[in-house]
Amino acid sequence: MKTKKEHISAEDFRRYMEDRMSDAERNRFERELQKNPFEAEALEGFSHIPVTDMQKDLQELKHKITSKKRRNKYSYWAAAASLLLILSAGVIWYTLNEKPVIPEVAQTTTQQKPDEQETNDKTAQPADAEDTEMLQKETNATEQYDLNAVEMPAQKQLKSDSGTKKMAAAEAPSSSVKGITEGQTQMENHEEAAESISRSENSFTQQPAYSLLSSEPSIPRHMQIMRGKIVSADDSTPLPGATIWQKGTQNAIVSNAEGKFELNTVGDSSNPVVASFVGMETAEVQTATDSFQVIALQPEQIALDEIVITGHGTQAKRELTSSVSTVKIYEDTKARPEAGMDSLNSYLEKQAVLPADYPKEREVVKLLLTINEYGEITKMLNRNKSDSLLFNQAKEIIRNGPDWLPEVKDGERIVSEKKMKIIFRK
Amino acid sequence: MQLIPFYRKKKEKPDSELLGLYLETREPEVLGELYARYMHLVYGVCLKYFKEPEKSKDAVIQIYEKIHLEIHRHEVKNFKSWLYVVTKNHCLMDLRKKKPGETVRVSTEEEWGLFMENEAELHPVDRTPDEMPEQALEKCIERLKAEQRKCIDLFYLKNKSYREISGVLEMEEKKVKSHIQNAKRNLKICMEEKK
Repeated sequence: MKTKKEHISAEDFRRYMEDRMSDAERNRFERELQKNPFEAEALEGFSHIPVTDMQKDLQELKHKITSKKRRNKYSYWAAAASLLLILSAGVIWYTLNEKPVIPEVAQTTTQQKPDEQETNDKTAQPADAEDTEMLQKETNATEQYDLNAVEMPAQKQLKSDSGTKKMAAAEAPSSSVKGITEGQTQMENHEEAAESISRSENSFTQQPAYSLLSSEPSIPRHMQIMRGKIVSADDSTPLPGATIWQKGTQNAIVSNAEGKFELNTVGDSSNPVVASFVGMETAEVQTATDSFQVIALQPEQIALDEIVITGHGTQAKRELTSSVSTVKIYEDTKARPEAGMDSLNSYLEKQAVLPADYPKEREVVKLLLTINEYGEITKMLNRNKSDSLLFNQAKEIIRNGPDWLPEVKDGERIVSEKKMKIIFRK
Repeated sequence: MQLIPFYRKKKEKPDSELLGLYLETREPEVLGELYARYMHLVYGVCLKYFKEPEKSKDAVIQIYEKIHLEIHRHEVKNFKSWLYVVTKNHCLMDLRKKKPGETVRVSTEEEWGLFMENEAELHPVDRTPDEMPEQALEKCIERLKAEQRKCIDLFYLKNKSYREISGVLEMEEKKVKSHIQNAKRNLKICMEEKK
């Protein structure tokens, strides 16, 4: 060992441990250890593994470290590349997310147009008090309506360039106000009011999705409220918390405590209303706004999946965060007749009859039964040393008697003994 | 070896020089070379604490990664003793992590550093003879208990290995070691009294 060396080499450790050093060398090595706790502790550690492993492990570690060094050089490139990847992925995601807005608007507008005409016809015909009520609400909320008007043409015009969009948006509210004031003056005449509204409606085709999302008090004009109640078909009890929605729209509502609901609907028979409730079959009905609808749901007849319990390793109870319960397959019981003690007693009463010529009127035979884990009677002892004739008869009676269930302790069936008393009478 | 004198020269560089070079250039390979010198010691210490080769190997790699970050945060003068502290800390922290219920005070590295400095200061008996205040030491050795004195005598003055001593004194090697340890502690106390 060279004194100028600042540490003891791995080779020295190996030689010491393999006992290839002279005693003088050993002393020098041990002295070094006395000086250096680092080396001393390392030697302690090496005593935990075979000497042959030490060389191998160190070789492996050296290899790992040198390969790590090389890898470090690429880490900058890797970092830059991954950054670029994330960035480009972000851009792609952003652009993809942006696109669908335009076709969606275009689609809904074309779809909505014929619908609107239909609703217009409808609103024109009944024109009941509800309509006027709605109208008043709307005219009161002219301000909010203007807001709608500003946004709606803006959406519609997304296709055109942004310059003209603003102008169109500025124009739109004024025309809507015009339409509404027109409606206000002709309030008494429902039909005309409805007409004027439908006119203004046509000019800014409204989106159903938009009206749902906004929780403004104004109900868009072509929307109608469907009122009804959800009940169970079984016993006609109301179902609170049932979900009711109109297909093809985002109009949805939950029934109240009495099972009643009011659903905003788009007046179109091609969009039926669907009602669903847990444990009930989903029902579909036509949208009907003119009457109170009672929707009865049939109970669902589906067998639940069987539960499969799978074990994933073991865990100490004290380290477990969830609660633990033990499911016992058998409940702990004493050994007992399968049909119950009463039926056994009545059976014994019938069977335990003394022979006609027996000297006594009443004789008791005490037995000790041994019942194994399968409920079989394996042994019967005569506890009171009674007449062997009666004992044999008692054994016969028990053997032919009801089946037994074994005693269960800690969830497991065990062998048990059972004391019995059979009273023989004439 | 003669053919590649530069390589050899580089190999022979003392720790302090390599450390200086690393701090200057920040070339990870330099630190890697420095680490490789003591890797077997790190591995041994890890083995002592974890008692599992696989876990210890992982720890050696983790410590290697750790020193790249830590070395800039501390003023490292003696790489080896610093590495010893880092290694020990890493192992102890890892073992403490295993017992979440307990609250164990984890000593800061500064504290460890202080402790280490004290440790690193050579015990009088470990010094080479010329720097030993011999007379005082001899007197102190005389005052030791018989077994401790014999062990010190055989180990330091007659240059016998643990095994030889255990043979001569008929006691276990472990006993020999602990006698030497205790004797050293007593000697230190004695020497300090003398001053």
